[in-house]
Amino acid sequence: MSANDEGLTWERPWQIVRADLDMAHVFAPQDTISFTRNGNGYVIAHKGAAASAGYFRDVVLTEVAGEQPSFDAVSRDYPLPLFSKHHKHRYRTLADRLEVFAQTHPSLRRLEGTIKIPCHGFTHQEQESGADPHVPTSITTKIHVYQFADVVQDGTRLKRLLVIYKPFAPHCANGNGTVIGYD
Amino acid sequence: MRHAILFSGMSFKRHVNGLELCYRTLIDQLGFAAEAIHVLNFDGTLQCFCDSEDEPVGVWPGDGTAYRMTVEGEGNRRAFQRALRAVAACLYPDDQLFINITGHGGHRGDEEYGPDLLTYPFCKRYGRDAFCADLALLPEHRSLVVLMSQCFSGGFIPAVLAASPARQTAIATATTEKLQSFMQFEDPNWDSFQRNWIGAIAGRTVHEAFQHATRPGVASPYDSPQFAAHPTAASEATLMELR
Repeated sequence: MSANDEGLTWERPWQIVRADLDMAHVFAPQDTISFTRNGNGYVIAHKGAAASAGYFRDVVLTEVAGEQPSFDAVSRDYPLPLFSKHHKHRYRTLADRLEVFAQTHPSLRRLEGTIKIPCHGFTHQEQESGADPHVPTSITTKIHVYQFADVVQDGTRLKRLLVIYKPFAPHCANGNGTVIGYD
Repeated sequence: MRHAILFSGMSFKRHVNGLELCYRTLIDQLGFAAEAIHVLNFDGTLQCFCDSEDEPVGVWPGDGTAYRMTVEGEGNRRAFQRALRAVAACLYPDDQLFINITGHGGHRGDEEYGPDLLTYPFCKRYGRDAFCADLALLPEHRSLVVLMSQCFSGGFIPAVLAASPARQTAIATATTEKLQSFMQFEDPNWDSFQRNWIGAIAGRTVHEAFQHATRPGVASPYDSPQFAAHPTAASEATLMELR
């Protein structure tokens, strides 16, 4: 059974392994993010493809107290293997389950805050899109960050799973979605 | 005969407004029979996400009058399949079906799966392949016209053309497979592309409506509208009654 450790800390590097398309240019696969306590919240440090864009420059995530989520409540399909193209279907299924779980469990322990997701991550996306040239716009997007203990098998070690969930919100132009990583 | 299915899953108010615009255009300007229009929205009512159940629906921002469409089902796959079966039961070889999908779309990023519709409840994903498998069960008919305005809608185009049992199929989408669609920034009561296309379709072919909806100064620069037809002659289809 997955551990239910209320003492799980956030301050460590997390490797992103998959992200839904509308967030993939912010949380690109193979990027690393870390959370560092800053006053009453956490700031995000980002290393990766689009780190220079500074999407998290002024973002402070607030810790919300609540029940530490147990992975058992999300899925029995664990431990998960490290992410690879051979296992992307399992991670996709997990993303489907996580979305429903997050919506039906609003009182979970988490970090939350607001980021701005650009309409295009990279100039070539606009050029390839056929859209008229335009000044990039950004979509103000609330995120919830969860972690689950002992989910991903890496040799003899069980890694924590990191989930960044974009809630469905009427003030936001886009839908919901997930980003998955591990420590 | 002409049939229509108007669908929005996890609707915001602007999507409900868009369904009503489509409904009124089909009835008032194109002469569709009300009983031939199946409206599926959110929880099976005129409500949308974050509306209180006790809150009155209000009036349609198009002209300040009450909504006229009757929602017959939820915005999800089961209700869409039910609507397709109802259409199929009276869909004859010379008939036309118009499908307007609005609301939200998602895309996990896996190209082999393609995009999804985010449906009621909990944004349950109705995938492109499942949607097209359902569409393929329709009997052969004269014309299928599909208008999609959700994010990543362009990813439906090849699959819809391949799955369509119609002799002529045309599809217009607000975006390419990998981009998002946007509301009308100057008036957030509407989705930009859907409003422009619906506003142009009366008296025009489906391709003319697309051209009209994507004119500079009319189209949102943030959308990336797409159009495809098979065979090519399907681009000359209209939603008007055949004489």
